[in-house]
Amino acid sequence: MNTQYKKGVLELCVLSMLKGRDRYGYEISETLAKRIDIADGTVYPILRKLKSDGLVTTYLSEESGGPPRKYYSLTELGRSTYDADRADYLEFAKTVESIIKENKDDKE
Amino acid sequence: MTRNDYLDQLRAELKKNNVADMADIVSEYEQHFAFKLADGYTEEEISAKLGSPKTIAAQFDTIKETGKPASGAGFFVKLALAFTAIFEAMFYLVFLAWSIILGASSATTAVLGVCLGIRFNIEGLIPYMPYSGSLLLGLSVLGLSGIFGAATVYCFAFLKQMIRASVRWHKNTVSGNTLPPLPFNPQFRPKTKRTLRTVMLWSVIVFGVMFVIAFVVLMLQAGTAGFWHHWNWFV
Repeated sequence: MNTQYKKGVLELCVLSMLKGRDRYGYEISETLAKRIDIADGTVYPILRKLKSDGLVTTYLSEESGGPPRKYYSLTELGRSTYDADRADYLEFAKTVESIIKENKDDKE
Repeated sequence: MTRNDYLDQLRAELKKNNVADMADIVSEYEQHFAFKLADGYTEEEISAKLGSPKTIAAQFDTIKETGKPASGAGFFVKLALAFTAIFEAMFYLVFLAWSIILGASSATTAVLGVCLGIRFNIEGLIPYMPYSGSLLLGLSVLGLSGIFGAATVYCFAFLKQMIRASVRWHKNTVSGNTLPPLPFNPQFRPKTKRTLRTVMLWSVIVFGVMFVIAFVVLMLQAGTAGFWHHWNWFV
């Protein structure tokens, strides 16, 4: 899959994962890397960008038997941005889907 | 690549790209290694799956550029600098006037000293006194002239250096450049500094000593402590 448009939707995926509950960086990275073909290291820059854009905040949390984990949490801005971006994306994906299906039908 | 190699390379690349919060970023990757190692992956496998440090660091760099603060001074800073400059200019004018007064004092006392020494009484401005006292007083006044002279040179150098330092500071603040700031105190070459110090020292000595001697000599010649009354100086 083309890395160029993967990058755009990865942000949306991260926000989506954080919508339900707070997660730590590795958890997000692992989940996404398992389902989307990306290098493991690429999620951390995305998390950092979301943080600098004010869509997520971080906090450290002690876990039993291990170093403190850095948790990511959606901000109010992150929540509203996610809702808007999600709607946009679904609309866009539907359009793209219908266009490429139409053209496939033409060929057949 | 081992864990340490990977993290070192990542640090180097982040540094090269001028990414902020390097330690924070690297700690995230350290945690990644910790989790993966706990899951039984080798350091080589983890490094390979992460992607090359160069690529990763480049992704952080692009983030930084979006949030990069504008370099150089903003409008309000410039306005504040302009006001500062006005007050500075007023201060420099006063200081310039002071330096000119010192210079004029030096010139005047020099002329007075010479006049006293050679008994050249312009328009009868110098009141009567015997020549011995006049000569000694003349030398003392020449010493005073030396003090004023050295002070004048120092003050003009001080003024010049203050203005240069201030201009440098203003330029640096406006443009965000980092030229080294200049010192505010006057900068003399060692030789000039020594000369100035010697002139000042001898001027003070000559002025002090000659003034006391002249005073005593004049007192003795007049036969009274208030010799200026004896010769009716202020009538």
